[in-house]
Amino acid sequence: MTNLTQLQPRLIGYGILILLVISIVIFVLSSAFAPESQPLNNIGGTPTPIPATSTPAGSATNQFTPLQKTTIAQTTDAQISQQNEVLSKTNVGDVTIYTVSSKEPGKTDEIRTKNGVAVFEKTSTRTNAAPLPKLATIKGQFGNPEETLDNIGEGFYMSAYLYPTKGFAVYANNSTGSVYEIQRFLPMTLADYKIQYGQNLSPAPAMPKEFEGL
Amino acid sequence: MKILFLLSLATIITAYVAPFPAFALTSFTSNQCTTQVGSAKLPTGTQPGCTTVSGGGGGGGLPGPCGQAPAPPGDIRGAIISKWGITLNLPQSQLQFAWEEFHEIDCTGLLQDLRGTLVDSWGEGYAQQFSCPGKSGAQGATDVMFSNQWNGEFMKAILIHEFTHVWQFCAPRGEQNRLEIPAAYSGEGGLTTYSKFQCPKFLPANLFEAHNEDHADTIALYLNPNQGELTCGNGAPNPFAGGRHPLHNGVAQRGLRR
Repeated sequence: MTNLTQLQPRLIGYGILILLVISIVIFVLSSAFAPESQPLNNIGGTPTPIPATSTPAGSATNQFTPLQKTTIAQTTDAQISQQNEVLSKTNVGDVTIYTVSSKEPGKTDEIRTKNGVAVFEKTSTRTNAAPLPKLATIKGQFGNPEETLDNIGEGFYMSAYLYPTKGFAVYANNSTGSVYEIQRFLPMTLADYKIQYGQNLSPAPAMPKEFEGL
Repeated sequence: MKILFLLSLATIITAYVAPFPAFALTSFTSNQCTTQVGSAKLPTGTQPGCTTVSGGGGGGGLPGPCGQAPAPPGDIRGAIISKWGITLNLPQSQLQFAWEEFHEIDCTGLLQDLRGTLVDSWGEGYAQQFSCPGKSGAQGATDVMFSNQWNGEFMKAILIHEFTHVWQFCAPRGEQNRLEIPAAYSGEGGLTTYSKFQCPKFLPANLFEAHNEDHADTIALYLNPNQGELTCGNGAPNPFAGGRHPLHNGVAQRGLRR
């Protein structure tokens, strides 16, 4: 009994020591295997770019969002095909159209190539990963668009802000100023943009009628 | 010695638990009170009228998180414009229900995000959004056309459903909150029959629209716990009753914090 009483402080001490050792081991292991935290970029999303080296002359198209997957005029068909995000591939004349996965649920992105390199990319920026990019930021950097078209795309709240000679167009919410989609392409005239990519400029459909029939 | 042992144990446990947010207790900012609606915690303001209540979907309890409305003034429409900056050109009976609803949800901040909204009335059996506040759409300056055929808790919930569409398309806070819906929809399915199937609209449902409707029903039924499902789910109990749909509940909680 006496021996046990004498041993009790020592046993408790050993217990504390063992717990401390276990805690240190777990802490070290969890630190070693924990995923590194990534700083939030300014417009959100998980970056999955295909490596690129420079921006084509006259184009201001490669710094909008880390969600984009190409560098216009540089990224090749082979590089695109290696991506596991390609959902389908279609040839229309001399243009290859890749439908690629989007970070926005229910949407897909698109890449077009011609003569083996990317000439167009449409990227949805509407994800929940970070605050949405802002039109004001783009206007601050590139000035006013060459043309603005209201009531475009998915609803009355969408406008298209066209900068074709700078090689990009932005689709944004005209009330909140949030950018929902960015298109990048080889710089061209406004008229050429409307001919080549004008299918994106169709007027918005009417909003759903709610509770019809009640 | 035992105390020393217990202190050491507590220190170790704290060291393990603290770095993991999942173990942290959820708390609201100091200027909020918590309102229990069914099993859904609603963060609300502490201004007069912010009460803590309990109630289940479809019956019992206060009809909203923020308190009951005072007696309506003679000019309800004018009083609503004066206080919230929202113009409701609705029949008098609907204005009375709107007066109640606005007070019941005032502490959530939703109405403050909708300042400038213009709602007009029509005899159609449905409601429809046409523009954002301050913009011009297919109905001119009118943002929402609202059926004159509805009344009671049902009308109040549908009004908030429409307001949520304005919120998700026209207000930054609502726009951001709408972006949280896909994860909840993916995890729990659509909150309501309507947001699952978009009935009575034509199928197949568009996922983007389904998310929009899911968000609108999430906010409408979170703020109106005494109202069951709307539209084609009419008659089913409130989807938050009994603690159901915690992911959707979380979306509403985060969106409606002030």
